[in-house]
Amino acid sequence: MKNKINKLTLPVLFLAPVFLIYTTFLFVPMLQTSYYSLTQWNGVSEKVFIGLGNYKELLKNNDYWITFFNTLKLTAVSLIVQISFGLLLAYLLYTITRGMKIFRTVFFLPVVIAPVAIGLMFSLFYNSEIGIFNKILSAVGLDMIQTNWLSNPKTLLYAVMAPQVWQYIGLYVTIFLGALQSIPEDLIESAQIDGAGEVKTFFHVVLPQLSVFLNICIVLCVTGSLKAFDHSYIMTNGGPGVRSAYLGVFMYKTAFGNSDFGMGSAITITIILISLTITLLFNRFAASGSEN
Amino acid sequence: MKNFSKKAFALAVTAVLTVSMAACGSKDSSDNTSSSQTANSTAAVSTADTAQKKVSLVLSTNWGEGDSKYNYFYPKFQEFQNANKDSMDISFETYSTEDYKTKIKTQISSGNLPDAFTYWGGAMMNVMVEAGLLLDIDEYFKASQTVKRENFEPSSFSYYTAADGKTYGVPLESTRGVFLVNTEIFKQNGLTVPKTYDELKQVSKVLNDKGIIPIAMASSGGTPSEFFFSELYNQYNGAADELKNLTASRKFNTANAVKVAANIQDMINNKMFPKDTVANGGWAACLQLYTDKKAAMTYTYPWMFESIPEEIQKISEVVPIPKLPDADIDPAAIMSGFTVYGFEINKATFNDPEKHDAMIKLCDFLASDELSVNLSKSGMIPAKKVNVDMNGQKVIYQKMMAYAADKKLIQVHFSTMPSLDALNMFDSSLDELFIKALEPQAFVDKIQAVLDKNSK
Amino acid sequence: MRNFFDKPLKYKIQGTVKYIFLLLVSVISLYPFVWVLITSLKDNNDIYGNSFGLPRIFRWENYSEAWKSANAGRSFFNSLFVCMIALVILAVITSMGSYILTRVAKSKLLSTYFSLGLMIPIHALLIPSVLIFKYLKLTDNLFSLILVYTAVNISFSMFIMNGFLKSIPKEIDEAATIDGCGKARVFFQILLPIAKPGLATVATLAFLNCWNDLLLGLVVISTPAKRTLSVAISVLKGSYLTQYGLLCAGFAISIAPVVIMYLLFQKQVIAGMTAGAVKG
Repeated sequence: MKNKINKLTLPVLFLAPVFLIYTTFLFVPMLQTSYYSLTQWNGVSEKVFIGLGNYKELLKNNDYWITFFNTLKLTAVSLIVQISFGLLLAYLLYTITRGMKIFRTVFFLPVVIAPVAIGLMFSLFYNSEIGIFNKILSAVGLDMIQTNWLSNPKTLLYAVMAPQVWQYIGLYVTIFLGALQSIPEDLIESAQIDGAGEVKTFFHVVLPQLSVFLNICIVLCVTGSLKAFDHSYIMTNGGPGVRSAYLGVFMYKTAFGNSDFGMGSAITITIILISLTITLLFNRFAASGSEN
Repeated sequence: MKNFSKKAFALAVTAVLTVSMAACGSKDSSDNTSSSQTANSTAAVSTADTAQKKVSLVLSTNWGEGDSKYNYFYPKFQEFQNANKDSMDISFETYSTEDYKTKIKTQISSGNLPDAFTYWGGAMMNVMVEAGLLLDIDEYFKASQTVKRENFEPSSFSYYTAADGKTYGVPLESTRGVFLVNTEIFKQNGLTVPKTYDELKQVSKVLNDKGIIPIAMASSGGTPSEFFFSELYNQYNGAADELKNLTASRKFNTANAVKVAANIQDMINNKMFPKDTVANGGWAACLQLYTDKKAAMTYTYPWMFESIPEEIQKISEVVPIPKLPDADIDPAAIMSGFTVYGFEINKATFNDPEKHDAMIKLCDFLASDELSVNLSKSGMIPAKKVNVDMNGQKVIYQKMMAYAADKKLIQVHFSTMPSLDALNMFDSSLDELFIKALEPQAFVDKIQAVLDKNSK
Repeated sequence: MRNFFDKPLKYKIQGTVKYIFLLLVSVISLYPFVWVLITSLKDNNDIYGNSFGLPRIFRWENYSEAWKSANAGRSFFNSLFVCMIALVILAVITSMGSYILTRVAKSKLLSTYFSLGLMIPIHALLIPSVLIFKYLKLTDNLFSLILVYTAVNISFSMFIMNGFLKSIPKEIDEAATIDGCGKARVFFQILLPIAKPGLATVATLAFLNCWNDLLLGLVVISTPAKRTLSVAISVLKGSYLTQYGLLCAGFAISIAPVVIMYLLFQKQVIAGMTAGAVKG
């Protein structure tokens, strides 16, 4: 019996601080949000309980579905671009002899720059009156794809997506590089002694070792994309209409812009539910994959 | 082990939730104004004991360090603070506009509203009025020795008057919409200032051929396009009344609104605006095309005057907007003019006997002639009847006031739109109209749908 | 392959191509940083009229003005204070929790519970947080900010720490336990040092999160003297017109410590490397 108590003391003691802080300042707000989502609330008046009313209205709301699909597009693009470039760059850095530290710092630099500055830079860059993007295109002979990037309904969303997807590649480089460095050296060296080329080494030796971190980065990327806000809001206000808005932007505009905190909270809950679903599905998929 | 962690998890969640739910429960009851008022006054008493009846107040504003009004406001505020440093302790909190709206909204819902704060009226203040957080300013006028309702332009109160007929904000800033032409560009190209839509079309063609944007007008988040839309709207019969009654009637979907939208579409088709209306949207980016002489005309507001170089001010003239082809009213007779900004008073603090006198003093300062006159140097048109020394003003400000002298002032949708979500829909749909992603009727319907949804 | 000159020509070409590619990516990565620095020396006319060129007039005064307007000395200290304390608390509690969840009492339920925080948009936390701090009578308090910064970074820190702890072979702590180490000692003396690269990665990213946070700092803190740097810099935006040169000067001021922090932790990463083998 005493032994059992002793066995429990350590886990409880070790888990308690992180559990308490997390629950009080993150989980409780989340519960409050889910309660708000069932009410009609403008932020100050009495909350009127309306059950699933907000959710029903959301499902009928065209703008919600536009932002929903925008968000899915962003998630897909981020996953493809950020994870593959992050992995590629991290591996290249890992294999070079000189300058690794400098390159690593440089690749990380965009991550630290405020999205406001990046947003301004790209708005100026895309601007067809004063910007240089179209000029660059015509200089390299690509006149035919010149357009008003932010005012063309076809290019708008991707023009807003690009800076965000690009800005955070450095994040994944950092995580992957940290992971690569914790792989035992001899594993890779023995593979190379066996005559495996760099590409082969990467796919057969390095990648399996990274699977845990690949999972981490994929989940970070998905959850990050699903709550994306800054670039869209800064560059276009999520507009015109909601054409370049993601769920996060739509939530903010609903809750804080329209003072409709009930509906805003309902959007938040859907963001969490979508994230959770994707993450759990992915984990199950990854788990079954690793068993094979 | 698995069993243990599940049990421990359940137990811990229950424990934390009980505590926090209790917290939320009691919070709701203490949120109302009366109890926060008592909390405020006890705090005041305790500070009064230690520091000779010193009252602490919070003054919040978005006239922050990066704003063009800051340099005209802060020195005056410092004078006021120094003069009263023995009796009050004012915490002066500044934010950028976007941050400020977020901040105030969280403060409203947590019951920490500042004691006095500059803020918008109309749909922006409704939530606070409904919750009974704001003082009916007639109570302030009654208590004040120096500031009376009669000191203000009578029309300036409408923006701060709520559905119950009472006024909840002291208007400070009035404004005028100005259509500017760069006379030099016109002269160089042998053009005359267009008065009719046909003339505008011809002028635009010539300018476009020379690589000059005819009118710097664009739309990002509805700026500056929403004011341009309203200005054009007033060229039609009945529009003025429709605008005035919009708050009550909730009817945006008028024949006139469709006409204006159709005309804007035609202007876009005739290449009168910059190609990329999103990237060139917003007050600053849009005006920049004009001040850089990349555009020959623009429509802007006095709060932007601070960023028009003197050389451009000299060669700019304020002229009427060309008359739309199907318009009824001569644009040379009208000009949009309305209250855009002022300050609001926290009712609980004002009625707190400990803070009442200090609050009156602070409000008297905010509503003083001296402050209004000083702020006018930033391009602000005082809502108060004060004598502004024209010689100390910018050239462009003088030109505007001279032009405005005989004009009938008209309202804009911005001040009369009944709810925030409709106003936001107006703004974001204008962006869509400008990129030709919406047809005029669809544009109008979109905004009406929001108004209809709320009236249920 | 590690040693360039010992290798056959094929590898030399491969190496050169690699460097050219990395250099290209570096230029693209470095550019926005350089752009912010250049823009910080311009005025608005120069920014709009000459967006991507060098300043026509170098406005060094933007820096002194931004520093003064944002009360940067004070807010810099506030930010550093809050971020550092949050970081220390975060590192200690998440690595302890992560140890339990990956080694002692594996629990999928708890892991999922802790990952929920990754999914909530920060805007949804604003009003609930303010209400909780009001209840705790911690309104307008830097301590509140420390707590909430710790809380919002727990999810992703635990997530990454779990990964690093999982990748350490179990045999290591089994061996230590046989040697008679208690579980606590195994963690502090054996696992934590091995997991240093993980901790450094977490610390870097968490520091960045805290340092760049605008919204929580905005709603939790009211008194100007208690402001964090990012909130103070945000005041440089105007209501209708923003002097972007000034704002970029502010950003440049706030980026500097993050870059220093990153370089500092990089050393940590290297120093904490387990194998100790010299690369190359």
